[in-house]
Amino acid sequence: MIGAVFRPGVERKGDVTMDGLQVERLGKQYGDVAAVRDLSFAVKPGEIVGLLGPNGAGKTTTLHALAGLVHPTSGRAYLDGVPIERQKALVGFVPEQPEVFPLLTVEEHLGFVARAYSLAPGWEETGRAILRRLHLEEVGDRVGGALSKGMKQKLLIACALLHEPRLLLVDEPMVGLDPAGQRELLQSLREVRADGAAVLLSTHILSTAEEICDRVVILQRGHLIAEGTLQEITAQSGSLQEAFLGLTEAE
Amino acid sequence: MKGYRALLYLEWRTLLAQLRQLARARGRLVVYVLVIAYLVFILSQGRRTMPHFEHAASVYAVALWLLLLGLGALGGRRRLLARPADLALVVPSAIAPDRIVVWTLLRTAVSQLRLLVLVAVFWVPQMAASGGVGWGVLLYGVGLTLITAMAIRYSLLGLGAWGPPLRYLLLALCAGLLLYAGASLLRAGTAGLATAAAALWPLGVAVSALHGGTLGLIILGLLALGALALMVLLAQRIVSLGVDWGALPQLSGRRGLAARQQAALAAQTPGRATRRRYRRRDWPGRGDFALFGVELARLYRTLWPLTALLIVAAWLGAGVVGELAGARGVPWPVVPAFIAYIMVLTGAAATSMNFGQVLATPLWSQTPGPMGSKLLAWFLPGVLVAGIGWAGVACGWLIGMGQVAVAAWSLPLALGLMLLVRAVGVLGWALLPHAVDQRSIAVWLRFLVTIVAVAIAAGFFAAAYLLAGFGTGAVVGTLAAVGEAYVCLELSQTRISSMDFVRPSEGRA
Repeated sequence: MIGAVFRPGVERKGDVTMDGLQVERLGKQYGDVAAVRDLSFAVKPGEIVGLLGPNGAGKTTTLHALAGLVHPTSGRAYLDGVPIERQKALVGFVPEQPEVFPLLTVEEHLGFVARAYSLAPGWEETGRAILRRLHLEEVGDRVGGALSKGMKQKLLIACALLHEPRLLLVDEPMVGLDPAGQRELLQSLREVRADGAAVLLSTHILSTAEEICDRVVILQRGHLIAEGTLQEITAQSGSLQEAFLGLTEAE
Repeated sequence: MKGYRALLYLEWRTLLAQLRQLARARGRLVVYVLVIAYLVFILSQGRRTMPHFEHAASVYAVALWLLLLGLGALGGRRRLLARPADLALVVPSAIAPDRIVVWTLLRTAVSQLRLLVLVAVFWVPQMAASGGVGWGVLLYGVGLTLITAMAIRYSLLGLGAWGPPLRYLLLALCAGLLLYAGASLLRAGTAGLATAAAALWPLGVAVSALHGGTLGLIILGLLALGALALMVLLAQRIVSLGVDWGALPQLSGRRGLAARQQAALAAQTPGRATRRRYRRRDWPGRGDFALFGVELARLYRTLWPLTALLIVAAWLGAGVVGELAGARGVPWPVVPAFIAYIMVLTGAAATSMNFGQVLATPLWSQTPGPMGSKLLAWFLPGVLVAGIGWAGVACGWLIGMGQVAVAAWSLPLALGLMLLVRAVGVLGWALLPHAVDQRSIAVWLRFLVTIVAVAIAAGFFAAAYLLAGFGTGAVVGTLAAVGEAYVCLELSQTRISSMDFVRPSEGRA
């Protein structure tokens, strides 16, 4: 157990900055099942925070609540001090399952995003640059249904980056990506961080978290069991995997 | 308008892509042309006006109107319908949630309106055969009914906590109206069914609209407009109540929370009857017919005991009503004919929309035996349950009227017809398996083939009935239906066996 960072149910309202993402006592109940309970944490601008936890820990539900896909039963979340539901234009979301419009081309997907976010003229050039970086430029006229799973994932990443979000929510991004795609994605996330955005990354792959995350938040059965920098989390056990297993199996 | 602009762009581009895709597939294009030609022919036949509206068809049409309205409105749920890609790209976007709600609801209403043509295929020939009402009036009435039902359904969502009691109230109202209408029609006897219907509200409005009556048409239009306006007004409230968009498990890979919910379900202490139901392992069906047991188990666990008890209650109720009606001189074919009509209509509507997903499960590839046997094994339990359920009500009515022999002969005929309808459904999917077609042209095609196939079986029945009596007619009609079903299954087997189901999500429904 890591005493310094083990803070279940701690109310954090008083010790927060107003920049970046601030989650306060978030809860989501499905009938009798509490998917997320009393969850509080923060992601600062220019920071990548890993959301870790075993299957069913509530990672995806947390991201869905922040992305507006499910309505939280309790608690609030703020982006730059404003309730997140009023900041949708500043949020990008990449879901775990790469579902795209099967009949729209890659470029039309970007066209939709540009209209949805009312992007200023010139977004096409930004879009082309993103597609180039993700090696999607050559399939720009191909429809979504004809893309491989990895390409769909990249397309959703491109859509999430086009409007240059202040907060990027990424759910299990490595699923379906080949090694080159994984490297490009990690590079993209680093660039987003360098641009000053906050990134919340849910993943099962601990090596990914070790490679890219500045801090991690570990969930178990819907509530927070540990939070801190990688150094703090691994101080006693030596590796993130040992610390993760020690924390989650002890619960 | 900025949110709607993006959504319109999405719909417009999707439509263009669908048209491009259609233009590239000549086989599909031919089917589209044939179906549209048929529709144009039928609609042009229905332009005659009917001097006398004294026909049972009008009562059937009005009863269907009530059913459509009631069932559509009663389906209101907290969870809105959304495609997986909507959840990934539209819902989390900067578009205001209330606009997404309105867009989702209108799109659902539009997709429901596609059923309008489907219904027209069934109704217009019937109306034309009986002298016909104006088809434009008919389409107008049914279209507005569908829109109204959808708008009411989603308006109920916006009423939040009042939703469930309101739905129960609506259910009670519909049931009361149907009972009131039924009792009044029975009291009217054989003469003046339509007159009795016209005297009742809201039956009278529907009958008036079917006649092309101005007041009826205006009332239907105002009803639809009012319901739509209410829906748009309540969109923001729907959002504030906390919308849980549909199909969320698809974004989380059906793991995580879904697994926890299943675990929570498993941890619940089921009642003794439930435990006994789930403990049962000895389902019939081995080898080629293993799928029979799987499907039977699914139906047993979802229908038993509540639905089964309701079905039995409906049989008994039909018997009592039949006895009362018989004493008042109501002819016995009225109810069985209506039930056969509904049975074929619902059977054709419910078959095979998502058959590709069923076929893509490992269960199908791992089950031994030819595809034809597996197809039969899969839909036979559904045929038996639906056939016995519907035919049981007709038999109850017939037995109540003292027509025991007719009831006995009707049962195999009903099962044969249900088998035929399902087999046509599978054939329709096998001919046009693409997801886009399955939501549009394949539905129309399925109905057209169903009409023809049922008409052939009915023709055999009628010929044998006239020559040698009802029993012989029923046997010949049943054999004809089973024979046609066999042909449909053989054709389906040939088509499906050559298909590839590795990536069903990217095309096939």
